[in-house]
Amino acid sequence: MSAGESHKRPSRLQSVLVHLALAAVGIVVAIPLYWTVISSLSTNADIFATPIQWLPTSLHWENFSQALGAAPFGRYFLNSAVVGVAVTCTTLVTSALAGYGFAKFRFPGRRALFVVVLIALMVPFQAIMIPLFVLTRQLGWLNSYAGLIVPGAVSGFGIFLMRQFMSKLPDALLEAARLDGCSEIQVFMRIVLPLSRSALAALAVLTFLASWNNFLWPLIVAQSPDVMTVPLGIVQFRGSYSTNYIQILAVSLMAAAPIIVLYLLMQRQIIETFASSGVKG
Amino acid sequence: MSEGQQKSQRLTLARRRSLFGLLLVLPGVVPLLIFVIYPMGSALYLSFTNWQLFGSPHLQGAQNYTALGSDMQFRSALTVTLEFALGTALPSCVLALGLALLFNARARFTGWYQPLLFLPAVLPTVVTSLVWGILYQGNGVINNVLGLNVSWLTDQSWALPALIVMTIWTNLGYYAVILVAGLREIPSDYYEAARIDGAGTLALILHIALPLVRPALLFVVVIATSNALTLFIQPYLLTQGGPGDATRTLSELIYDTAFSFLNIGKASAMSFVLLAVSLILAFFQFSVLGRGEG
Repeated sequence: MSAGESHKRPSRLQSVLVHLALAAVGIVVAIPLYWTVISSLSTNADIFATPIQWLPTSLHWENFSQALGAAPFGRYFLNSAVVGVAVTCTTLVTSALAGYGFAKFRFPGRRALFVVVLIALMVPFQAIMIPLFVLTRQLGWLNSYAGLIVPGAVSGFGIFLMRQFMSKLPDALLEAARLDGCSEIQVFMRIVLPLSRSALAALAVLTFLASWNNFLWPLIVAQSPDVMTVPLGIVQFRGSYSTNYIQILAVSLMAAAPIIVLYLLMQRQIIETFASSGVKG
Repeated sequence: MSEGQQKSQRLTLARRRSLFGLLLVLPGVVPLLIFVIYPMGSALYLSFTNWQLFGSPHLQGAQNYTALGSDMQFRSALTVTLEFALGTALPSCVLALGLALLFNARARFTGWYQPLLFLPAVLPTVVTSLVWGILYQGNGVINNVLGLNVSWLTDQSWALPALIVMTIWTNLGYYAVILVAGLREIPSDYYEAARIDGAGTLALILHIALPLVRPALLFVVVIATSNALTLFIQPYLLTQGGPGDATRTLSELIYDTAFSFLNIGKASAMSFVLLAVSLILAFFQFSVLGRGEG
């Protein structure tokens, strides 16, 4: 019996109160988001007007084209996309492989190697960013895609997540496939991977989100506009046009757009994975 | 085939399997050794030097650590970080718990609130920070709505609360979702039994929901605290740690010390303090989670 079935629905009065309370919080959360959207289409005078203009008097779509023209945002979006896709791919592959290895195989050093994964999961980035910068500089990777991608190409969280998921796959199923003559690689490709699709999809979205939103590491290793990612590009833009608020809001909205689309498509999986693992940094 | 042969064949099969397992984990673990474990060791080493990024590091003993004890800016950063942690964790817990209980009432048509409340948590922090920076302007929306004239981000006593409010706004939905998951774990029989005994809604919340959701609440406190330890973007973009050192968090101070003042040795010592505190927190988090699962 699921928890929902036997749980009594609230009375009508209680329902109304619940809705009122949720609506109040919902409005407070929504106002800055709504305000960002309308302001990105207004003028700099409008957004500081008294009383506040909750509806735009006219739509200024040129805010977007002017902001895009003022800085190489096309390049920033390309850089963010390249870094995001690359990090997501390497994270998926290494997490699936290592997660499977830790979940279903016994080998010498397994415990010690898994401790490495746990440490990687727990150490905050800020605690190792200085030596990581020094290492990246020694490798000659400052201001390069390699510097942006490689140090974050593998995720302790990803390996941990996949191990947790794959531990629950029944051993009998894998054994049966082996008895049917599947090689170890075939067992992985044909049985384990297809059964792990939902976990891999959640990991892919979370990894891409984190990479797209990442600011501190690009700030440290990418000073040249050729390799700057979107968040860095916006901050750079704000440095040059600090009082052109509407255009800052317009580029901010564009930076958030891919994330909002992903969120609308996958919100259930995203929320569930966040809720169960406590990963948000 | 003799029994001995069979046995040795099984052994080689077992060995091949264990080798395969090792090969599976190496592409994941080796990069972690290079880009996480080695830097941790390196941070420890650098923290005992006076390196300025150029030239070569010279060991100078525990000087950086002893100096931190009397470093006013470092002590202020620890205080600010702690204030920020408590300032976000406590109101977040209360508000998120309220929200979670509202969701858990299972009134009809409340399903769409959750994705709305969660949305700020997935948006780029740079974006939400810049938006709030404009909202907090002297002639901005917040003063306008409240009918005040406060310099939120440049006033010594308001800057930190201003960052706290925007952080609560960002993460509230996220914390609520964790607590909703915690509440859903409670078997409905408990409620049924209490209701048969004549308990009202308030009694159900006080005597069943609250005590049983405690592990999830602790989890939220731990996450809010570790978020505070790594808080960087908001002070970096909106206040540059100021006014004075009013919003200079530990992470912001480490960044400044290392990358603005190139004082790598001192910054490394600070990051080691951050690491120690984070590991203690993580250990606590695991034991809380472990108890929740058991």
